[in-house]
Amino acid sequence: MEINLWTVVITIFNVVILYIFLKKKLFIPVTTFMENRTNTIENNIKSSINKKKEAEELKKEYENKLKELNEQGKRIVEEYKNKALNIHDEIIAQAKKEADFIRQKAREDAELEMERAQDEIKKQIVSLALLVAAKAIERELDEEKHHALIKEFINRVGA
Amino acid sequence: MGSSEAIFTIKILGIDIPIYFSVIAQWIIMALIMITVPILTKNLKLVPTTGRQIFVETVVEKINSLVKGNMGEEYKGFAPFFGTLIVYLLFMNLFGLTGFRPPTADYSVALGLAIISFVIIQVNAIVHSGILGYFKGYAKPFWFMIPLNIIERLVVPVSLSLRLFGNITAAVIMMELLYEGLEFLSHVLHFKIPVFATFIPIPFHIYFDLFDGTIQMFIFVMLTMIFIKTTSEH
Repeated sequence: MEINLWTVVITIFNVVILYIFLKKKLFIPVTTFMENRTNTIENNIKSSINKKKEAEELKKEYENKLKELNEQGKRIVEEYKNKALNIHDEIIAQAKKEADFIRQKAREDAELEMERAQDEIKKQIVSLALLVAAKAIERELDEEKHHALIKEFINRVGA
Repeated sequence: MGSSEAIFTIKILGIDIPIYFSVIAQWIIMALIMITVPILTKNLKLVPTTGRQIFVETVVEKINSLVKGNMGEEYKGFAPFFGTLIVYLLFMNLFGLTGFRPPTADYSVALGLAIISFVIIQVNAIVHSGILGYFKGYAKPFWFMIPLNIIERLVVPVSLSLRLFGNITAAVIMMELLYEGLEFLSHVLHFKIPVFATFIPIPFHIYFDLFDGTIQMFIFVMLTMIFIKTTSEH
């Protein structure tokens, strides 16, 4: 088992060369490559978590908005319903009033007409009575005087 | 040491450098690694789809986490060094599977590797605790422990290299003995073809080459890690 000095030296030299080669060509590139990938994946995960959070916040916001809008819509519909009901009531009340008015007027008119008719009838009756009386007594009556007399009589009867 | 004849010599600056088979085997392994690695690490994708990329990432990740797990986060800069040791030692120890002698069965190679470990252990200790602190470390816990501490540190490369060399050489010798024995058996039984040598050595190869080679690589790397850490914390 002799030691060849040159073999020892060459072995050391070989290892140094191989070390430099493997460090440059294998370990540093592959390690940095893997570290870069780790960083990229970590960043991706972080950013996706952030995005998820953001999206959730947005979703909550939109849900709230939607709820608000829904309520607003309901309120508007309710308001208009109330308004319409009011208008409806108003219209009905007005119509009723108008109808009442028309009915009242009609009644008044009818009464007036009836009075007038009654007056006419009275007049007719008076003149008829006068005629009848004249025929009955066969003489002229003092028209003016008797007219008033009969009228009074009729009025009393009618009352 | 069986094949200790220099295969050829290179003349650099007037010095004859003898090249042994264990060095040529190292060069073959290095060429193999240097050709394979760029192919493996070609265009890595964010989402790994090829088995090639998954394999590379798993290997690098395992080595990184091994260094971090055994030595702590602050030593992760050592990962490429230990990765080199792991890959290189694994290839050298498993070189026996090709039928040639593994380079680590040459004590000079094992010693070279252990010297690298030794230098790194000492340099890291100096960087970690400063020159003064490093030399003070020899006088701990008592001043009269200095000789013992010096021996303790110097013995590390010796034990590392002898352990590696001894185990791998023993495995090589065992396999050689087995092959020779099986050949002899075939010869005695007058078989023209050495039938025994075809299937019987397979489980022994699995044990002596695969298992022993991997375990020795692992022990060498783990001990270097432990020595780096404990020596720097003295």
